[in-house]
Amino acid sequence: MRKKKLKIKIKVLRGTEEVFFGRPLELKIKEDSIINKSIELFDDADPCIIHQSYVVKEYTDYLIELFGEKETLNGKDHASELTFLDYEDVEGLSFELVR
Amino acid sequence: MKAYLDNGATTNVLNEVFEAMKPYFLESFGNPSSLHNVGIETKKMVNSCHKQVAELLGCDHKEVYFTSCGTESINWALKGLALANKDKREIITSKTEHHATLHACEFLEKNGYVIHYLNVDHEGFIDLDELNELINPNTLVVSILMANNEIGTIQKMDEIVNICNNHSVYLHVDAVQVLTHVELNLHELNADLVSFSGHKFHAPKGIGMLYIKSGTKIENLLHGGQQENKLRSGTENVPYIVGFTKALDLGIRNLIENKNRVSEYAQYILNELDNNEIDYRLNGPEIGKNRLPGNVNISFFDLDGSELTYYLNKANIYVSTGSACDSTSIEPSHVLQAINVPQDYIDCSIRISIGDTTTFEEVKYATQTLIDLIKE
Repeated sequence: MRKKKLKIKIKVLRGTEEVFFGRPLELKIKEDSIINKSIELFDDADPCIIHQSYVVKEYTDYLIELFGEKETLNGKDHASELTFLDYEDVEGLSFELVR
Repeated sequence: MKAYLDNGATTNVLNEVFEAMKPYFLESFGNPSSLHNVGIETKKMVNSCHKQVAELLGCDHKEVYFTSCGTESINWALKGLALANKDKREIITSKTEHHATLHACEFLEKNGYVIHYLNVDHEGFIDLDELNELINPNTLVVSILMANNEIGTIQKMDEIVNICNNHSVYLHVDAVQVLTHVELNLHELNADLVSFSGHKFHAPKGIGMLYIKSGTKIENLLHGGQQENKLRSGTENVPYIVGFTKALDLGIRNLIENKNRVSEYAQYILNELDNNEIDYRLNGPEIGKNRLPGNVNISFFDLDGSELTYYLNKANIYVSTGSACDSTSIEPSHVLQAINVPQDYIDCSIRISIGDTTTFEEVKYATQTLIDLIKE
């Protein structure tokens, strides 16, 4: 498990344009992905806000783990793994971990 | 390594409790209302359990009523009193009660009752002067959480009882977190109704109890076969009644030893946080006689509580957060808000509740992992 997860922020760039900067939990996740993960974890297609929040954490933790030991990640290298993100053209995005 | 530190939420059923229950699922399954040997056997057991529980808690067996859970006990106490005493239409409770009380009161408020919510101080103690001033001839009941499930505050029950007795007002005590963790004698407590829940002390989920002092005017909520002295109908849950009784017996026997041990472990956690210069605050009173043993509710500076508990969970450490679901957003709990936890801390609040079966190794592992996560 990658260390130092609690105080991480993520910067999402499209080229040099900043698309997002903030806590991983604030990333936009597709609603369908939240429902599907909620069904997988809780067998619940109508999760309450606390369970939705847990599902979001599962996704963001997965994203952070994709970085491995690196501080940057290209969307084009992980397109099939990042389908839960609700951003246009994820392949064109790059991600940076910020402390 | 795993560390289950959410005993305030629920506890495991002890082996001895499970073994005591098993025959009443498999062989001795009779309906206690049946007049044949199969039923007579279980009727006798239910009666014996009433007597044993009464002896353990210092009351009369006719004052012991088994329910399905603490929430049912609390709802019955409040709504049953309301139905039986319709001339009184005001209820006094506090801002830091469990949701069973708060939502039962909301229901009664929608049905014309006036509910007063007592303020609490920064440690969670209710304002006794405010209580004394609010009680009036229209007061039906004062309902107080004896030991707060979130921050562990143990209210000054002697003073609360005195105030209620001086005004001849019914007192209902939510003692769900108390049983086997804090010494309790019901006749000495001298409240009118006291609610309990089995799964907080190693009995199964699905069994609770309401103590109703003799002479209390209370209506049934459940009508039917007139079980439980005609006040709580429904075929008795014999194995769970047996489990409740066994767990109570074991818990009371081991109360002092368990209380001292879990208090030591709780202090260990705080000492380690101090030794590692972690920026935190303890919510509720200092560890000691005014705090539920084993309860450690802490807020950390400028972190997110749900993230912290998520990563603790990944490390197999199981605790609660200090947040509640408000259907559209996650808010800090009403208890933490009531005691005015500062904004920089309130969003990272966790409750650790050390249990009777928690080992020191689990506490050490959890504490070190928590410190490592925060310091990273």
